[in-house]
Formats: sequence, structure tokens, C-alpha cells
Amino acid sequence: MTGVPQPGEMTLRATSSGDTARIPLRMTRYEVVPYSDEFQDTVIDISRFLSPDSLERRRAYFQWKFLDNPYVDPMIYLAKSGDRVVGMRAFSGTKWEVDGSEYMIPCATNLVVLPEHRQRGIVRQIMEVAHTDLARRGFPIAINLSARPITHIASLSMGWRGAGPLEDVRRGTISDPRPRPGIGRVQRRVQRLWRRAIGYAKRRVTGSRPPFKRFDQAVVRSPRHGIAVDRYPWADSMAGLVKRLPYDGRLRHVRDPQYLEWRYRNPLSDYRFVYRQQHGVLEGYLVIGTKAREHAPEVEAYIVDWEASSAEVRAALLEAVLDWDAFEALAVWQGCFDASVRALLARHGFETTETDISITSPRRTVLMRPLGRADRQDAWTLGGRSLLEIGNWDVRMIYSDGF
Amino acid sequence: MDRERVIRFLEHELHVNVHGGLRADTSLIESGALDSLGILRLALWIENEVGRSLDPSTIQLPTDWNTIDSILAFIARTRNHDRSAATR
Repeated sequence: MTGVPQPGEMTLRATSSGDTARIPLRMTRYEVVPYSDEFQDTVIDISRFLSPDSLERRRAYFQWKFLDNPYVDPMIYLAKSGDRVVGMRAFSGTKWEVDGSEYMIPCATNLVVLPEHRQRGIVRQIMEVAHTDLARRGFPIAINLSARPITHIASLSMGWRGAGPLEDVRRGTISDPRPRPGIGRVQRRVQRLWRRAIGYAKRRVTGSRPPFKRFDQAVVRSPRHGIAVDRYPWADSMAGLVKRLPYDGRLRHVRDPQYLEWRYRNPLSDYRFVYRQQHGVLEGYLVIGTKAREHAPEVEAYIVDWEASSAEVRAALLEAVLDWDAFEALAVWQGCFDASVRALLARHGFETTETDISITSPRRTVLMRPLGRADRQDAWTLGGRSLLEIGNWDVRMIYSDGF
Repeated sequence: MDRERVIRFLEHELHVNVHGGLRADTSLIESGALDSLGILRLALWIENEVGRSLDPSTIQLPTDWNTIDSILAFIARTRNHDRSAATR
């Protein structure tokens, strides 16, 4: 098929219910093809619909995320209308461990549909091809850690399921940046402009700058005994600490030196690494991340990973960061932590930002889909653990491509 | 809740348009008649109908909302559940 398809131009598959399945008139048939190098410029070009970043930054991001990915070659599925790429769904390679076994798992990430091709069933067609191809390649499941409401509900409609909330808690005044469904585009724009204006006014009044400028100044001004701050991961030491600490067997990303070196090179984020050493041995680390935006300095920061050999070390790391008082807001997913860490966060003013559980305004979660037959007895398990219980997951923000 | 009401919503608000018109067993989700935005709007409508937010972990979208009949059954089931929870 060539040229831009028209509504009703082609009808699609019958469903399992045979002739009772009516065919939507708007449905359009697209050719879905896997990524190859010839599409690189196109993929980077259409990613402008996801990000206001410059072409140069989008190119750097693509290079980092897909070409430099330590696990697999790009897993990107492109919908074509004639010779033109009009939509894509990308998966990045991730490596998880559960009870000592390791699994390569594709993590759903960039989803783009050109405006004139929306509401034609394109996402479903891309995903059907992706599911089949990823299953053929032997991956047990696919996951998504960064779905926004509309992707979330679209995923549920294609057989994905959520494991339960990751429990976003934050300290500070920045409102939930996630767009709320059910409100109009104009209203969202007004809200966005309002937030931007408030942020600008605050920065004018307080003289504050993007968070790491204040943070770096505070670190120099008030050094803390036994605490070091760096702009780069001490990958070997961090991986060594993770390996030394007791592991409860929950599903978590493998944090080896290779992963840490790669992950923290994300060109669209900035990080600071707060380390606690004793006798030359790393006893804890806390990593703060922000979005490195070109045009809108981020005023919110995130604790994207946090490990410690003891409660005392863990508290010392957090208290150092809070004493430097550099951020207007600081957020973390506390779902992965035990009661003592949650209590520590609560003592320091971290509060939940999530109220209602709703399909139309979903909490952040691990979305997943088995790539084999979903009706098999063990389809929703990995390494013997149920994937649908959030208590079986140890998910840090750094595992999500949103940070 | 009757079928006609659901059909009116799907046709007039979500502009679902299928060959031969909507029937009780027309596939909405599996066939792609409802796109992502349509499903989201349907979810908002169903939440309004049952008078509360819906926990996504309790819904199997591909089956629970795939046809007009399954949507009606879902709404009835949810209301019954809420009624019996209230009387407990």
C-alpha cells in the first residue's frame, strides 16, 4: 500500500468471535517493520514529538539509549505508510535478576505516532508485531516503568497488567508533573504555563538556579565528614556494595559496573553521587537525578538510587542531602523500601502525592506482559515469583527511562 | 443501564463507527474500534456511571470492556459489588 491511507481504506482482522466482530471504519493498515540503521535519522527526527530537545540532544540520547545499550541491539518497531515512517514503539534492553537468576527483559519506552495518523489503530498494530517478534527472540516478558495515563490504558487494553503502585513520595512543593487525563488541552497548557510562571517567580525571588548549581555550592560551603560528592558513578565500588549487601531475591535490575557506567551517561539527565566511605570502603551511596532540560531548568530532583550497609549510613546520606537544602522538591519511589526506610523518609517530611487509585489517572507502576501465552499457569511469574505482586519487585527510579 | 445508552455514547461521543453498525457483541477493543483515547474516555464514562474510581488491577480490559454486553455486565457487577460492600 502506498500513500497516506484514508479512513476506511482497508479493513482488518476478524476477531476470535468470528462474524460477530464488526470492523471499525477508521482502521488503517500499516506496514510494521523492525528498525535497521537506515531508519536512524528518521527515528531521531520523529522523536521531536516526544521531546522539545534539540536535534543534537535527541541524537545523543538515541546513541546512548539504543546504540550504546549494553544488552541488545535496538528493538524498535516502525509503522510505515508507503515509504514514510509515521509511528514507532521502542524497547530498550534491560537485565533483571530474581533469586539469583538473570533475565534479559525489553522495557517499553519511546512511543510516537505522527498526529495525522492517530486514532487509526496504529499503536495496536505496532504492538502486535512487537509482541510476536520479542517472543520469537526468546524474551519471557516485556515491561514498562514509565507509562503515562494514555499509554497505561492502551497497554491494559492489549493484555498488559500492572503490579501495583510504586509509591511516589516527595518533600517540597512541586506539583505532580504528570498530565491528568480528562482535562482539556487548553487547561493543561494553562496549568503548565502557570507552573512555569511560579517556578520562574520563585527563582527570581530566591535567586535560585537549577538545582545542582545550588547543590554544588552547598557541598563546597558545608562539607560533611565522611561524605563525598561526585558527578560520576564509582561503578566498581557501587556494584561491589550492591553485591555485598544482603539480597532478598526480589526482582531487580542487575547493577553491575557495566550497567552503572552506561546508565548514568544518559545525556538528558544530570546526576550527583553522594558517597559514604569508611576506611576506604564504600558503605553507602545516594544518587540524585534531575532532567537536564535545555529551556526549562528543572527544580525537582529525584533520589534515583540509594543503598547503604546500615541504617546509620542510610540516614547520614539522606540528612546530608537535605541539610544542603538545594532542591525545591525531592521525590523517591518508596515502594521498594522496608518499613524502617519509609519511616526515615516520613520523619524527614516525605509525603505521598498519590491519593486515589484510578484507571484514568493511574499511579506509577510496573506494567508487564508475558510474551508467550498469557493464559499459561506460569505466564505471570518469573523465577517462581509472581510478577503481579509489587512486593516481589525492588524498583528504583534509575531503572525507569523517565529519570 | 440499557444497551441503547451505551451505543449512543459510543457512537455520538466516541464516534465509534463500524461496518453494519454497533451490536451487543461488536468487538470494540480487540478489533481496534476504540483507540487509546477512546478507551480512556470510555473509562471516564464508566467511572462516572458507577460513581467511583476503578482500580486498574481489578479490570481485564480486553475482556471486561470488549463488547457492549461485557461493558453492561461489568457495570452491573461493579454496582452489585459496591452495594453488597455497603450493606456489610
